[in-house]
Amino acid sequence: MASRLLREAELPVLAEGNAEERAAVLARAGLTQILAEIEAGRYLEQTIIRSQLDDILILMRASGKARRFLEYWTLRFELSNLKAILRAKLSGRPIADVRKELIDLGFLASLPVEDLLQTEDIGELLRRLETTHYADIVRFARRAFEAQPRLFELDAALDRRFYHGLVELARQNEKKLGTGFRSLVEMLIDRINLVWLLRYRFLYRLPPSQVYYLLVPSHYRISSGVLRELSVIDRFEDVLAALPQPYRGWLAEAGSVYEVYTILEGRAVRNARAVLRSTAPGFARAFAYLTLREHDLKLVRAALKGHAIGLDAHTIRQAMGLEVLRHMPLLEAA
Amino acid sequence: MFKPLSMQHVSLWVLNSDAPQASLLLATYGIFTPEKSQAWERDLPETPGDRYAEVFAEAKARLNKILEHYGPTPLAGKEIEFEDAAALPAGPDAPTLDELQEWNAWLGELWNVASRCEEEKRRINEALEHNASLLSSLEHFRKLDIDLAWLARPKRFLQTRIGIVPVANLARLSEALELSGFVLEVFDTQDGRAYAVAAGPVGRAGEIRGAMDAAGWQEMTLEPELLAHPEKAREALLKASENLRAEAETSESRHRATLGDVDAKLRDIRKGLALAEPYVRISAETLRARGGLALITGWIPQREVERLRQALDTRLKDRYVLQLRPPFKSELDAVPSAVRYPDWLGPFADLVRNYGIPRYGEFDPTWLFAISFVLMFGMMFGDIGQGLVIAAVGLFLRGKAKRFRSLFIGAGLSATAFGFAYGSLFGFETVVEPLWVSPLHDPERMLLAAVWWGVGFITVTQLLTIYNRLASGMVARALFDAAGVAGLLLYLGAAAGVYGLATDGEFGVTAALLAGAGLAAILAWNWAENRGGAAERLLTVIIETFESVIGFFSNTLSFMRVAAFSINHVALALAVFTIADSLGTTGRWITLVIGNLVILGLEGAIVAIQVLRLEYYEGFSRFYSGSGRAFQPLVLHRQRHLKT
Repeated sequence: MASRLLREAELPVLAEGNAEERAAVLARAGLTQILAEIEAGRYLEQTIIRSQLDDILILMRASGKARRFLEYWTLRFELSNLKAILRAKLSGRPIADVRKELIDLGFLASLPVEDLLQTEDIGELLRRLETTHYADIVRFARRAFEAQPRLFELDAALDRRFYHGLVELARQNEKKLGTGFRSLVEMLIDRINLVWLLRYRFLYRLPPSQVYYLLVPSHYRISSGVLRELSVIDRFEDVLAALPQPYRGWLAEAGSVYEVYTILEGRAVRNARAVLRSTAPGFARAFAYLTLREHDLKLVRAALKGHAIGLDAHTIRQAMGLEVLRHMPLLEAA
Repeated sequence: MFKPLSMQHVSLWVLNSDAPQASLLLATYGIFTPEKSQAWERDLPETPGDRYAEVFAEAKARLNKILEHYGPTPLAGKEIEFEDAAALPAGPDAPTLDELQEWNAWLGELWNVASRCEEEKRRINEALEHNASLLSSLEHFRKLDIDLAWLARPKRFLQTRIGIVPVANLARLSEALELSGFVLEVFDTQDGRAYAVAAGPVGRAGEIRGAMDAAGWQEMTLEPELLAHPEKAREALLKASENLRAEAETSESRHRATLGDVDAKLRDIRKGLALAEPYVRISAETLRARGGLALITGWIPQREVERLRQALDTRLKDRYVLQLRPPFKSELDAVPSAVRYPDWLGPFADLVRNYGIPRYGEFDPTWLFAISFVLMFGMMFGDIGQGLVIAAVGLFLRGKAKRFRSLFIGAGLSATAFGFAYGSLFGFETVVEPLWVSPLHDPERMLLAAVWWGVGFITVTQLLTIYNRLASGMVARALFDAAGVAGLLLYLGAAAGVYGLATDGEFGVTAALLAGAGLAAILAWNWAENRGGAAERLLTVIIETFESVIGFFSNTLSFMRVAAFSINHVALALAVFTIADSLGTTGRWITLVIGNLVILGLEGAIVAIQVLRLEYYEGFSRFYSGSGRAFQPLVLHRQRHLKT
């Protein structure tokens, strides 16, 4: 499977090549199906997630006891379904439109999606959700929602709970799956926490106590203790300067949340490639593959969308994050 | 009887406006299964039923929610009643889109009322829960060594908040509040909830609100004065709870009264939605259209064609075109298999289906299975008394288990018949004279009989394989393959030769010629079928042919278990008798009864499993693909509760 990952030289082809060249790259990466499904009128996001799910299902069969971790990993897609339904109820979008965008999780699904879709308004939807395993979150978020009808608190609580669960599961498997696996989850959680912190603090202007509460409890390099200290800092640059190494070094030049995200993602890709090439336990390498494949699919999505709406090559490269990483030795090393 | 019904491919052209009625008609008769026609997708780009399906789904969801909300009502328990449309072509009309929309709007209004009621209920329940926790927390306040009334009153520099928070969120919230200069002090915990006071500088309440909301902080909303007088607070809270309960009752009876007025209409709508459902399914699975003309495609049993035509003539007059054709050879694998059995064959059909559904045109082994299953069970479990008990159990089966009556009675009577043949009655071997053989006294004869039964069984399965291959047009494979005529010649020749050796001491020329011809044909066929270099090809041919010969041999020996279990059955009875004879009269009879019950339950189950194993692995795996698709006709649902 690893041979299907995108190669360094193929990224500019996706951004700048013609349709035939792009199709050749996708064919080599085993993604021909994506083009076929887009032609058949299916949503690009759905098609891409379907492709990810197919990979996960294959790896799940060979994952033994770590299977639970992969099952949990797929809940992200259910979460995105749930958020799409919540948004649709708030904006009054027709059910048929939303249904088209939802991802069919098959036997992995745990939410009664059709019932949720058929609710009449957000109040009924929240009531229905209270009968699912999201009840605890919904009950708290409802009060905030009733005071101010916006979805931020609910969205943030859902995300936080998901990643908190992921950290707990990863912690249980860390010894067995070795440092390679730990490094993959560490880079993921550190990136999420740092990006959320910067976004909440400097874009949404939330108070430190709320910012800290909404972050994922972590025992990794950017630990909960570090996050507490970072939450009270008032300037973007000062937050980056207060980060532990190697993050401080990596992000010294970053000027925006987007750049922080892209650089950290680039570093995570580099680390995942190292784990994939290493002699780490099979599951760690499988998770590294999933991380890389997800990144590849993200680049493919950016490129295809860019071409579909007629963007120029430079803008597509920007959307793919290639411009930010151009002067960094991330991709060569990978 | 021995293979699925002959099918016809249907292309039914109707006006778009007639499509709901045509769908209803097809469902009423339960003889049509829809199937998408890929060939027409490009030429017929429209899907005219989309809006109808959308409104239907919304209306059905609303109806279900309403029924669920109002709980068991006379309406929810009743089946939908229809006129006997199967006998009378002029059945009910399918609802139009306008009618569906009107019902949907009405259901929407009704659900709005019900939803408000649910919201009210939720609010009241939450308030009641809150009051209950306040009541219980009054006790906890006593543990605080400070004046609560003072604590709750606004102060100049210090603000304090008293509340409840889930224990799981406590540590994180405490850390978060510290960032805004607040201290969280827990004074008690109960049932996973912590009772706490948050204290911090005045003017920073806004900063901590977000964190507190996210942590599920529930503010104590009691008046400061009440906090100072717990008894007064208790009274006030009890009164408030009483009022809330009264409010809930009023709300409940008001909504029940609403249902009284709408009962009849809900019943009509429920029936109407059931009549609309076939069109929704047809829309989802096959319907395509262009310029007002719609096409419905699918399959129908040949013998139902005339009935369908008559029904269409009656309902649609000349506003339809019905095109029929037999299945193409290329689509045989996709043609659904419709099989009909008498009721008593039901449990045997279930066991066959457990293995697989007959492919269209394939031999349906249900009858053969029923006969051989019953016979083999009897052979392995031959006992007059125990057989009659099994048959009697079958007679007394009730409820859902009644379906298995014929299986029990058949197996029981067969065991009884073989019980007479073996001379066994509840394990007593001397009460009834054996009509044929006592297994324990002549095991060799039993084993030989079992092997010959196996030879017969395998010969039949081989013949069926040949039939299935000829039916699928695989003539060469039916003639020369190891599972075809060549294999049969080899097998019968070898069996006759072995019999000759055992009886006359000679293999016999005819037997040798038969077996030799079969073997030569198989070798030649395998040579022709394999590709590659000569050495590789030769090796493959030898191995494959050897495997076939060994297969025949081992499959036949596998039937020795039929004799083994019949001997085992007697041996088990002997063991019971040995224990029983060592006891006194009462103990002896109790042991015999319990022993017989154990044999019936335990050995009966084991024998049934062994018979199934022989059927599946020595029988079905040779000739039955079971890869067919069940014919699932479009039907008019008469379910008790509509499900989304």
